[in-house]
Amino acid sequence: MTTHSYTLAELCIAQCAEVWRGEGEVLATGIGIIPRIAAGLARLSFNPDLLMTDGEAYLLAEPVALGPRRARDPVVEGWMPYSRTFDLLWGGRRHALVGPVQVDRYGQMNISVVGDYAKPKAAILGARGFPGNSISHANSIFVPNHSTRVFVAGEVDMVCSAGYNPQRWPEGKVPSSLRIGRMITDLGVLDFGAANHAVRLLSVHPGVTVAQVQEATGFPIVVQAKTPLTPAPTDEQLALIRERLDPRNLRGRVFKGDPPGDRR
Amino acid sequence: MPALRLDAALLHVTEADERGNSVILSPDPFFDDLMARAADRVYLSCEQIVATAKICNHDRARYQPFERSVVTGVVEAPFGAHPTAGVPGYGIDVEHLKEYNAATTAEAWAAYRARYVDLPTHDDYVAAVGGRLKINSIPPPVY
Repeated sequence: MTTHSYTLAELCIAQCAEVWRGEGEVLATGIGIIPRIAAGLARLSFNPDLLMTDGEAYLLAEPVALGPRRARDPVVEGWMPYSRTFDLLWGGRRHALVGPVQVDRYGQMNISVVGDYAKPKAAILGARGFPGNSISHANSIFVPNHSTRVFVAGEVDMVCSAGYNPQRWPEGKVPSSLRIGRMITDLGVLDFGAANHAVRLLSVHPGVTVAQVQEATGFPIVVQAKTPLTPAPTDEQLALIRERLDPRNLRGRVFKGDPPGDRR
Repeated sequence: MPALRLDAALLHVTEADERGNSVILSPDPFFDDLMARAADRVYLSCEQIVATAKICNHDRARYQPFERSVVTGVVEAPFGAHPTAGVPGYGIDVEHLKEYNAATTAEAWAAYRARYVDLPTHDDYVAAVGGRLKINSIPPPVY
C-alpha cells in the first residue's frame, strides 16, 4: 500500500530490488547507488538469505546505510576478499545488477569503449569481470538514461558480456544456463522473456507511454496488448529506503532534479 | 592460454623476517600469492622486519601468503604501499592518486617524477608525500 508520494529514484530502487526476489542464497552485487540500495531493500524486505559485502573484504549480516559509517559497526558474518569473489561467482551463486554503457537486443553489454575499438570515441572501464560474470551467473541491468545511445541498434560497440546472440557462441548455440534478468530504466521495466529471448516491455513508469519507450530503444521491443504501470513502492519500502538504507539521500543525486516517480 | 611467467614480483607485506617469512594483515590480501608463484624472483618490502618468533605463531600463520622459499629478498620500507592502502596502518591516498592520474602530459609527468620518484631514499619519498603523520591520518575510504 502506498500513501506517500515517491521519487523516480525510489521507484527504480523498488523495481531493482525485485531482481533478487526468489533468488535464494546468492551474493547480491549492486553496482552504483540505486542498485546498492536495492540490494539492501531486497535483503530487508523479501530475501533475507542474500549475501552482501561491505564493498571491501567482508560479508555483512545486515545491510549498511550508504555513505560514511555510523558509530555502530555492522555485524560481520564472513570473509569475501577479492579472490574468493571469483571462487564464488564461478560456481554461479551470484546475481549482479550492473550499469552498462550500451546494451543491445541480445543483452550483450559494453563497459569498455564507445566507437571503433582501435580508435575509440571514449575509453571507459575495460571489460573488467563482465565476460566471466556473464557466463557464470545471472545479471540484471539498471539504465538511468533510457535512450538509443544506450539501447543501441545492431550490436554494442564491444561485446563485454555474452548475451543471447547465437553467432557469438561456439557452434551457434546459446547455452541454456545463460541468464539475463530484468532491465530497469528511468522509463520502465523490460526483460528478455519474449520468443527467442527478444526484449519485451513488462511495465511503464507512471506518466511514460509505450511509444516513448520504443522511440528511446534502438531495436524493436515486444509490447503487450495493455502494458501495466510500474507499481509504486510500498510505504514499508519507502521507510526502509529513507530511514534505514539511504538516510543521507544519495539517491536524490541520481536523476537530474530528483523528479517524482509518478510523472502524470 | 599459456601462463604468464614474471621476471620479478615486487610485493608489499605487513611484516617479514630476514629469511623471507611474511604476513599480510590487511583485510584483503588480493592476488599477491599468485604473483609470487608466477615470478622467477620475488622481492618483498614490508612495514617492519621482525624476528621469526614474532612473525608466525599458531594463530598468525594463516596470514602468511606464501612460504619463504619463493622469496628472493626482503627490504624494510614503512609506507611502502603508499599511495595505495597498507591496512592496518594507513588507507588509500585518493588525493595523491588524483595527482598521479592528472600527470598525463610529458611535462606533468616529468614534474611528478622529479617531485616523487627521482629521490635519493624512500624516506625522502615519505616526506615528499606529506610525511608519516599525514599518511597515518588518511581516513579509510567509504565504499
